[in-house]
Amino acid sequence: MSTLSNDREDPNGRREKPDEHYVSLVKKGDTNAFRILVERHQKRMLNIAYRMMGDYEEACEVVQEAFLSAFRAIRTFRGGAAFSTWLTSITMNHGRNRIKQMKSRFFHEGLSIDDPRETETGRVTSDPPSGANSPEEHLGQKEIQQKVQECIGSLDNEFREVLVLRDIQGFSYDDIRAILKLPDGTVKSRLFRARESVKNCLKKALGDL
Amino acid sequence: MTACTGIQQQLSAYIDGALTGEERRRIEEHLSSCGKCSATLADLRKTGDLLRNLDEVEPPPWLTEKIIGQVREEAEKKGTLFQRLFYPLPIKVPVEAFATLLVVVLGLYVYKATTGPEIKTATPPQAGIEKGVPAVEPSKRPERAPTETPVFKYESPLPETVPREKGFITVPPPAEHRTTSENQKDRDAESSLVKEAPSAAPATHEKESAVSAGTAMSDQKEEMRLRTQVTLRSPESEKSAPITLAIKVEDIEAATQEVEHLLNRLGATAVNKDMGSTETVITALLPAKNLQLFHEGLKVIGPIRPTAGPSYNMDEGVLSLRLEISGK
Repeated sequence: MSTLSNDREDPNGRREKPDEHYVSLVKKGDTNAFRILVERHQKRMLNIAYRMMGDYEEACEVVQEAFLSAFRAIRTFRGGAAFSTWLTSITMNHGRNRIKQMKSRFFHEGLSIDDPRETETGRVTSDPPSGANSPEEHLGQKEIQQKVQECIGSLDNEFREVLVLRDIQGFSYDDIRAILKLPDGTVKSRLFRARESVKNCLKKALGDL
Repeated sequence: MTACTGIQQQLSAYIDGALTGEERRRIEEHLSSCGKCSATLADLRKTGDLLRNLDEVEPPPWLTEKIIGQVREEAEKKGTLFQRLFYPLPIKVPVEAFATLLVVVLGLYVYKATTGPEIKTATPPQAGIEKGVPAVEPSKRPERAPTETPVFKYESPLPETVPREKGFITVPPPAEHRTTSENQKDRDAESSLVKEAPSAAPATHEKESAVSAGTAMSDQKEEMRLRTQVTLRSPESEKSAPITLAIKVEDIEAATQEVEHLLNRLGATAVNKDMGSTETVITALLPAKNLQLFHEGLKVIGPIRPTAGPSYNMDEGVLSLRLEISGK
C-alpha cells in the first residue's frame, strides 16, 4: 500500500510519528497536530485535485474544502484504512462535486466538458503528427505535459479517477478499491479503458509515442 | 472477439502485474508472436511513462495557513457551542441542585400543612377474642378528613366489636373488664374533675373510648353528652341533688364505722359524718361506678330505705352521697 502513514522520515532523516498519532491529537482538539497532517498531505491532495480538475485554482479550492471536511469528520475516522487513503477519498468526492459544478457552468456557457476534444482547461489539439520519431524532438516538455493533461481531462470522470490514482499517484489496486469503493474487476476494467483512451488521445496529439 | 482483442484488454493489468501466472504466460506467449499486440503494449508503457513523469504542482505558500485558519475558525465554532452547552456546568449544576432541593422542601412543607399528622393505632388482637364476630378491617375504614383532630384511641386488650353500617367498630370495655390501674386512673381523673370542674374536660378526654374513624362524629357527640353529664356533676350540683340513702341499724356507732370502712374501700372521698343523738349522717363523694357495690354492702349493714336522687345506672363520674344511719 502506498500510504504515507507509517514510519515517515523528515528531511533530516529523523523518524516522524505516523499520521495516526496526530489524528488522535486532533481528535483531542489539537489544531497544531492538524497542521502537521496538512503539511504532510496537501501537496499530494493538490496534485490529485489538479489532475482531476485540470485547473490549479480550482484544485486549491478543492484541497481546502477537503481538509476542512476531514477536520470536521476526524472523529469518524476509525483507522480502518490509512489516513491518506481516507483523505484522498474525501478529496476525490470534493473534486467530483466541483467538476459537476463546472460542467453545469460550461453547459450554461454553451460548452461541453464531455466532448472528447474539449477539456476543462482547453481544447485538445488534433494537429497531424509530424514525421519526427520522438515527440520530445519537436515539442517542449511543457507542451507534452499540457497535451497529457488535456488527454486526461478528456476522459469521463470515472476513468479519469482510476488513471490519476494509479498511473499518476501510484496507489495500489487495493487503495483504489478503498478510495473509490469499487470492486477489483471494475478498477481493472476502468483502468484499461482509461489507458487506452489516453494512449489514443496522445497518439493523435503527439504522433508516435 | 479476436485473440488480439482479448490480449489487449489484459495488457493494462499485465503492466501492473495484476494477472495470475497462467494469464501472464498466455499473454507473453501471444506477444512473442504478435507484433501488433507488442506495439500496443509498448504504447501503453510509453503512456504510463508520460503520466508518471508529469510534473508535480507545488501548493501555494498560503495554502497551509488558509486551511489552518479555516480549521481554527471551525474549532472556535465548536468551542463556542461546547461552552454554551457545557461550560456553565460548574454554575448550572449547583444552581439546579439547589432549586431541586428547594422544590422538594417546599413540597414536603405543603404536604404536611395540608394533610396533618395521622396517628396509626395497632390493630387489636383478633384471634380467639370473640368467635364468629368479624374482625376489624382497617382497610375498610373510611378516610379521615384531613383537618380532623387526631383521636387518641383506647385499645383494649379485650375488645368488643359491634356491627355498624360500614363494618365494625371497637368500643371500650365495660368497667368490670378494666384493670385496677385503669380504675385508679379513673379515680384520679375523677378527683381532679371534682376539684376543677370547669376544666375537667381535658382530663376525661384522655380516657376517651376508642372510636372508629367512620363513626367518629356520632361517637364524639356521645362523648360530649357524657362529658357534659359528668361536668354537671360538680360538687355544687351534687350537693343540691345528692343521692340519699337511709338504713336502720341496731348499733348506730358500729354501723357508722362499717359504712366508713365500706366507703373507704370503694374509693369514696370527702367523707364526713355528723353524729346526732338519734342518727348519724354521712356524706361522701363516691365513684359512680361503685354505687352498686356500695348499695349491696349497705344491705349487709342494715335494711335500706327507699332511695331518692338520680339514676344509679351510671358508671362514670363521682356521685354525691348522703347516708342517714338511724336506730331501729
